[in-house]
Amino acid sequence: MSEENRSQVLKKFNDYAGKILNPSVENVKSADCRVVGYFCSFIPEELFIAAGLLPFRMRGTGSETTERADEYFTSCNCSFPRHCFNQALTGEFTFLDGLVVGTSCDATRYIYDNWKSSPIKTPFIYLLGYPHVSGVAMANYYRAELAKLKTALEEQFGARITDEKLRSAITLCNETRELQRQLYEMRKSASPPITGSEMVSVMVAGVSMPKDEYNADLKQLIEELEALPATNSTYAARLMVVGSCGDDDILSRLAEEQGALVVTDHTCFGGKLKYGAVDGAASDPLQALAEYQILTRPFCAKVGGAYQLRAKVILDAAKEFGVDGVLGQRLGCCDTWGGELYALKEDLKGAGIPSLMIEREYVPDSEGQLATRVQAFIETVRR
Amino acid sequence: MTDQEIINALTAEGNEYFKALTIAGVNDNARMGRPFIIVSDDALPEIPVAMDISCSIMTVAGAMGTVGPGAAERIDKATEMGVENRLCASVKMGAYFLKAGILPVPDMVITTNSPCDAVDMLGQMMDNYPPWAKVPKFRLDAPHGQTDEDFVYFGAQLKEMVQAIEKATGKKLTMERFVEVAEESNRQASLIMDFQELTRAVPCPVDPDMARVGWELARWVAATDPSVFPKATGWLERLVDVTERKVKAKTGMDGVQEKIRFLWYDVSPSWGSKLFPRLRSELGAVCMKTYYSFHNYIPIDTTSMDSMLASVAKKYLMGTPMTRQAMHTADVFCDDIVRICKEDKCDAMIMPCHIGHRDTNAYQKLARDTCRANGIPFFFLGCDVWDERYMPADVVFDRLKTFFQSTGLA
Ligand code: SF4
Ligand code: SF4
Repeated sequence: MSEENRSQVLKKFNDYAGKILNPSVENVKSADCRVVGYFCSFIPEELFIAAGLLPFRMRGTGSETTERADEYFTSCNCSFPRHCFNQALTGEFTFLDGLVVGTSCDATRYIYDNWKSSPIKTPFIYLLGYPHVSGVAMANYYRAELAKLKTALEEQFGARITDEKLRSAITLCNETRELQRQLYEMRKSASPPITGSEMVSVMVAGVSMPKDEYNADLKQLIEELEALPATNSTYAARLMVVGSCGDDDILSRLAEEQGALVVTDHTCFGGKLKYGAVDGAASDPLQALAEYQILTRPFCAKVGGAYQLRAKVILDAAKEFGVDGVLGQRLGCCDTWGGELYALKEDLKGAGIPSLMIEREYVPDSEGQLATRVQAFIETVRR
Repeated sequence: MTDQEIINALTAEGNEYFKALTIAGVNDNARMGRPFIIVSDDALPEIPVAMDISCSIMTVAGAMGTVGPGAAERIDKATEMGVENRLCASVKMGAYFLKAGILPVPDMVITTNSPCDAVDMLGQMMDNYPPWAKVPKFRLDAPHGQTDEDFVYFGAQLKEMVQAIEKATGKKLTMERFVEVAEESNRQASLIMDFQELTRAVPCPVDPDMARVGWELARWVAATDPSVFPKATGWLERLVDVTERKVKAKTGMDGVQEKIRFLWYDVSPSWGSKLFPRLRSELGAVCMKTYYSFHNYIPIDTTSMDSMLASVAKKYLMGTPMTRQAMHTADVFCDDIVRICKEDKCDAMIMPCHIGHRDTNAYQKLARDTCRANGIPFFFLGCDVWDERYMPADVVFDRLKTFFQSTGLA
């Protein structure tokens, strides 16, 4: 879609993904609804929605430095939590009424203690236990952890999270996943109507605004894209982006500036979110949420016993979307993704899919070197 | 034998046993004729000892690989693998051993997410290592919580793990033998506590690091060779005996004019032999504790199989060095600093901040603030406990000397 024809919805998503506080969050706040930030995609948004809260996925968008966070974290910690925390210290997250941190990767987990001890005044801070093995006992443990979080949210925000409200939140979020899948499906065509860079905005916006509003916007976007003529088929290569975090479009943008097209991804802010559905008819909706996160979608690289599933999902997507190569990204000092991408590279090679694994910082010093590497890779997979 | 000769003999004996933990030792263990298991990290010795199986630990073999001739080249080779530059070298080395194909095929592989992301990652590499594709696997999920529910959750996994070991090896865990081993383990733990208490005397009678040696003997070496388990008890008894005598005689460590006592709040570095003796002899500065010489008494409750497993779980989660510091919230981390400094009468707290330890790197301000609030002089280093090239021992010595001088301690 050319710049001038770009859909209003896409512009809105792009705007929301490019900053932290957006008009939808401001509207929600002015209507007296509370906003709770959360780290990592395994924390079910459904629980917050059922409590009448707006879940806001934490990110460090707009950060240029980690100067203030450096007093807390050293450069031997991943730059994602450092930039997020820096943004918090500079007052970017004052709109939060609560924060839930999961026991995910080490660096992100330690935000919990630092946030609590810092001058940031967030009324509710909670550490949610998250298992690192995909198994039935672990899903049951996670259910118990979610039940504790539910009670804590009810106490803090004076809400009653009934099973009925949970089921309706599950339906809403399943609809989001379904609509996102429809969008991804459109990218399988020879002439995808949306770029990888635009898709990052679509996905990031989805975890930064109310779901009902987002779903309505997504429907409109799908309609608009369906009506577009097929014009986007002269790209140098079809690529897939995989790896950690991924709340920015740096890699997709650089690849697309070099004439390639990113047609799918498997990142923590992107394609991982659209996978499967929570059982909305389950008699115990908390159990359904726990099973979805631990058994159906164990996509956090920290979860053991699930690498084969994660690799299969990526390899299947690479085939289904007809990709010519895979770009992997991880942030420096990320131990888990170091191993994940190492193993994945071997598996992709075994499947005959070329890949380039890149280590970068959340805010790279310069994009020049990254661009050169991406360009060189595209040359090797060019159609 | 003089007291010092006894201490020297205990040290020499420990060093001899530690050979079982090296990569060569791992290969020897595989040939011992017992069922042979490779675990990613700490090996819960009570279960393998009671089942008479041999467990080798990848991270420990990795750490041992970072010392001795050719260590720097090995670390570089491991780094070249491209997993993560600043990954803890003990884990990097473990991953390299896998890639190099120099490990024997075990009868079973047990992996865990504790104590950190790096070990979690190594475990996943082991789980998916093609030459071990047919080897039975078991993965533990160590929770980050500290409640009874967490211990029961982990204990239930240990029960499943025992069943998986029984299936893979044909060995059985009997209640009778487990109780016997648990009681001996409790005895070892209480000996370590006695030693810890005795070393609090002023002057400090014996290098407190001997608690680490005893713990590693009773735990890691015994896990590789269960026949060492009772020998470790005897070793600890001799250590406590000699320490008691020295406390009564009010004699400090040999050749040390004790002036400063400090806490080294991290792992004892592999290059520590170039640092700690020099600090003692030149500055009278005694390292009172490291992660591995600090212990809590968490007894195993032998009432029933379930109580034993839940208490072994608690001991694992709250009593294993590094797991205790890295897996839990900062209150555990910071409260321990204050407690150690108070109990051991430390004059200062050194935060080595190993580059691979994401926990200490994220807790530097909390640790600094804790020390300031409690009047404990604090010094941050930022070194690599396995790769001396990152910050050489003599540079560390100079920096500590300046710190001790500027705070009026030296
Ligand atoms: S892999 Fe994704 S979900 Fe897991 S800790 Fe990292 S950012 Fe969070
Ligand atoms: S990049 Fe890795 S270490 Fe950093 S936040 Fe994501 S999962 Fe955690």
